Amino acid sequence: MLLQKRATLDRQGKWWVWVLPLLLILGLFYLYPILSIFRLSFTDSRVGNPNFSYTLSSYKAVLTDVTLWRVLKVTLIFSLSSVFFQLFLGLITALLIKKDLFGAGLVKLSMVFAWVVPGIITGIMWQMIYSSNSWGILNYVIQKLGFSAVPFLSDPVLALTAAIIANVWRGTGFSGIMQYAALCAIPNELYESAKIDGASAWQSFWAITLPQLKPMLMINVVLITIYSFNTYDSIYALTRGGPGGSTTVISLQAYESVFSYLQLGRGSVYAIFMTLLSVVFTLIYIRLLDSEEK
Amino acid sequence: MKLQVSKYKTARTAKDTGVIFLYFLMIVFFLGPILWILSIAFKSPQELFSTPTLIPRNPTLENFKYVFTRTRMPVYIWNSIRLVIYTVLGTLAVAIPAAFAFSRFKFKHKSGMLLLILLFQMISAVVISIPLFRYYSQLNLLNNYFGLVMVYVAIQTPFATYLMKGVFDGVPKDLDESAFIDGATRFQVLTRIIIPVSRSGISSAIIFISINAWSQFIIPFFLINKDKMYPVAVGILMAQGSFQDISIQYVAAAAIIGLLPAVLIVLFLQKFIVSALLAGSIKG
Amino acid sequence: MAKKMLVSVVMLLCLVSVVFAQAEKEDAIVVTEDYVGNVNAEKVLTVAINRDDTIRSPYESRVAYIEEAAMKWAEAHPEWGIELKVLTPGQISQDMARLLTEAEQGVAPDFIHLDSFWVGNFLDAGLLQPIDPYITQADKDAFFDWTKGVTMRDGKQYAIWGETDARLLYYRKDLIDTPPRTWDDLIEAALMVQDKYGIKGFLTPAGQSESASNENTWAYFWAQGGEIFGENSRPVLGEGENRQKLINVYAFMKRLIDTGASPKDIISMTGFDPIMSEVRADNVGLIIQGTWAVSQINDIVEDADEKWDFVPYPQMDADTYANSNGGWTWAVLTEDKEKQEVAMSYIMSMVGSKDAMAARAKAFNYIPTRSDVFESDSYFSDDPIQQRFFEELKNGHARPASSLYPTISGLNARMMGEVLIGNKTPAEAVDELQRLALVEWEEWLGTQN
Repeated sequence: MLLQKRATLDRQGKWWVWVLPLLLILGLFYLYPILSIFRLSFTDSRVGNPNFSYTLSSYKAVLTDVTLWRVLKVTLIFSLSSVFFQLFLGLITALLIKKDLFGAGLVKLSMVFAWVVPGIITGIMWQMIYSSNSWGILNYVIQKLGFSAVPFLSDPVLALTAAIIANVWRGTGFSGIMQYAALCAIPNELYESAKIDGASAWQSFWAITLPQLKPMLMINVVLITIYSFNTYDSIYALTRGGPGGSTTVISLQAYESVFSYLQLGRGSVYAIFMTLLSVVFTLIYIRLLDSEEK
Repeated sequence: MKLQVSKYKTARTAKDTGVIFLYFLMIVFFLGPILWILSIAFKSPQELFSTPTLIPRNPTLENFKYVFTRTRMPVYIWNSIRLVIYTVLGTLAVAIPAAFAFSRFKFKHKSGMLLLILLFQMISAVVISIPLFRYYSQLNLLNNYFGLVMVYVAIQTPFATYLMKGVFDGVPKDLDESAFIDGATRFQVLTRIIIPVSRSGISSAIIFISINAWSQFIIPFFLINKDKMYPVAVGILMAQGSFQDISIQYVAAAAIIGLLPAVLIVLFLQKFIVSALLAGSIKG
Repeated sequence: MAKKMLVSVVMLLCLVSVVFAQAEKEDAIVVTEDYVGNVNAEKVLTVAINRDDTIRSPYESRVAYIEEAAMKWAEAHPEWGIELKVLTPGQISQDMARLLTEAEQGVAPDFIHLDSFWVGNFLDAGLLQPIDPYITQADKDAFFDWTKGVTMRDGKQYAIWGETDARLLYYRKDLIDTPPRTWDDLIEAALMVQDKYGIKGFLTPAGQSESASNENTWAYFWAQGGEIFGENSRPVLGEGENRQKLINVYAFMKRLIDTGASPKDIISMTGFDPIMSEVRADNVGLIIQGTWAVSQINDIVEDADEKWDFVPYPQMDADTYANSNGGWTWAVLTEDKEKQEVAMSYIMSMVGSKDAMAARAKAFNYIPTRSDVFESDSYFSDDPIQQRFFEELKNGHARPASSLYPTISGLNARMMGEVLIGNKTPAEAVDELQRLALVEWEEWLGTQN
């Protein structure tokens, strides 16, 4: 009888009333600008010039730009490495903090510290750290250890790595805290019964921890993917996309298009591409998760 | 506090020592850069340009004095705090009912709709700033916190809804049922049963919303052009020198000042969230 | 009784309010961090202004100048007030994009402070108002000729160029006997100080930013007679005779790295802080810096007089000279004639008139843009260093006032980076730059009905 009642309850009632405030806010304050981006991508609109005509030239310019493929490559390397390391480090940190030994509180705290640093400041900070000058602590240590100074931001590969490290530094706190919260919610009984069954720590990690964490991991991975695709401020402050465009990710390209070149049309095309990338990756994640569950 | 400390097991085994060593590495990784910036913030340009030491040889408060006298850092901080509070309240007010609907109702295209909502979060803030400015200029909402908070809420709600749907899903439906049998309305089920039980999940949502609202940059940069109304992430730039100046020590000091309140808030909330978690989530 | 009391209370209140109103009136003219003039004024102008031209400037001498000069202006214009909107230091392109968007929406300030290389965008958008009615011909003529390509269009003046700077080659005179005049000299001297004294050779901010263009391209390019734009803002910097000239510049920059005259670090330097740190540590022989650095070097280096001196930019040929000069301009957006006049009176009395420019340049450690200031104000005419700056400005160039300038400069910075990291040869980079620049130009042309 209870089951029946639940079924009727679920089907009855106006679900949309509960979602209405959300739809209203999105619709009133954010929908129009989003639609504008879509419309602007089909124009040659420039910042500060209200006149424009409808054309495909912005799409054409973006698609025929020889740097597009490099930008996409850099974006994928940057985003996927950021996502991987943030998730991985976040999970490890969460598992270690869960052990709750001496110092765990400080780890949690320092992780949160890094996370609240705004993007631009992250870039400025890490630029100070990577510098080859007197305030470049990293190179100072490297030289003290007897090696020669590393021009972190002057070499294409090193610069991209440097940008990824800075982003991972900032973003891991988010994943770590999320995973930690999820870990705390896993009932202890599950582990205890696994122990009784003679499962090793490794086995119970695969059999209990990971499956229990999955929903949280899912939200987490989707979000940090979106964040990573949209990161431009820390890279801008760190390298300005250089040297020679080797750290120019798609969102930085969009930023440059809009703010340095004033090409609103082209910036909008990049924005659409970024959204598509996010959608594609979200769908891939969902697919992966679903197929594993089957 | 004492209770907290005694909770820690002392390292007895080699494995525990290993874990503590890993803690140490993590603290160095996460805290190191901030300590270095803290150190720069206490240095004069003279010292900045000589051999680096973590502890400044001649610590100076000049940089902090500069930030406090030449920028409105306290005002920026206060603005950010207000914006964060409004955003948290606004987002929760919208996201909790939505999450409730997505968790407790069955309807067509539910997952599709969730994805659609998430789309709002995927749009690049950089590019949207200009159409948003144009739109807000028409609505007469420039230099207006209400308008700004509404954008923040719009940006945060998708994720908050997602997160809380997950949390609400974890609350056993049996609890709803028994409440219904006792004659409770849906609203009462939400406010009296689901929300109290989901405190920990909601507090983590609050942390995420707060931090995201705290670090918004390009949108307030566009929608606000009165210095008095800037939030920290924008105001911090006012400490930067112009092209010619030697200014990294000022930026460092501003960064530290700008970080402190955020860290304090998170610290406070974190205690709250952890205790909420330990106090026994219903799942356990 | 009660009535009487009520009356007296009301009377007292009236009296108090009159007294307070009086006090307020007396106190009404202020210079604060976001307002100049009469706080009770009904006529209020708005201005977007650099922080350094407000009392929020980090320099005491600048604050003192503004407090005095702005107060004087305010007292002369008692019915007016100016609301200040302070621009964000170091975020020029974001600020300019915001101002353009504000203007397009009709909510822009009445007058603005504008980086000289962004004037073209505002002119092309038709946002700036001619200011000829408010300035004398003598004032107009006093400005250096190279400023007029930016501030004037079709015979009308649209902006006042408030101050400038010049880029120079600073060198250690105690270590280098003859200062370099050519690129070859420079590389030789840089290698010499490295070998002999174990310090860094030559430092310049060649990172991906406006510096790549302004400090490391245009002066070298212009000295060879190169041109960035042709008719109708068509980019020509990579075609015809200009092509080889730009290739020369890129090849020179690459040679700096290849020969080891400059460390690889210069590829990521986007500002002067890292260079000044080496100067301070006595660890570099030659640097590119601006005129403003003379006093900074004095501040951070002991015996700076005996160590450092400056000369004009080294060039490909020994007898050529050129400089790329920056600085900020002031322009009027409002169409209201009365407001235009008042805005111009503020600009001229704070920045533009001969006296104002001399006083401001002294207080701000800036370089004037009027030759009469250099010639007849004793602070400038009797100071040998200032006179050397003056000489340098005679070879001055402004970045062209074209909407496409920021785009071309950005592409140039990217291409120079590609050359410096070895991704492209100088010739490939120049050809690619020209190709991309033309794509941009055609698209831009399409929007200029």
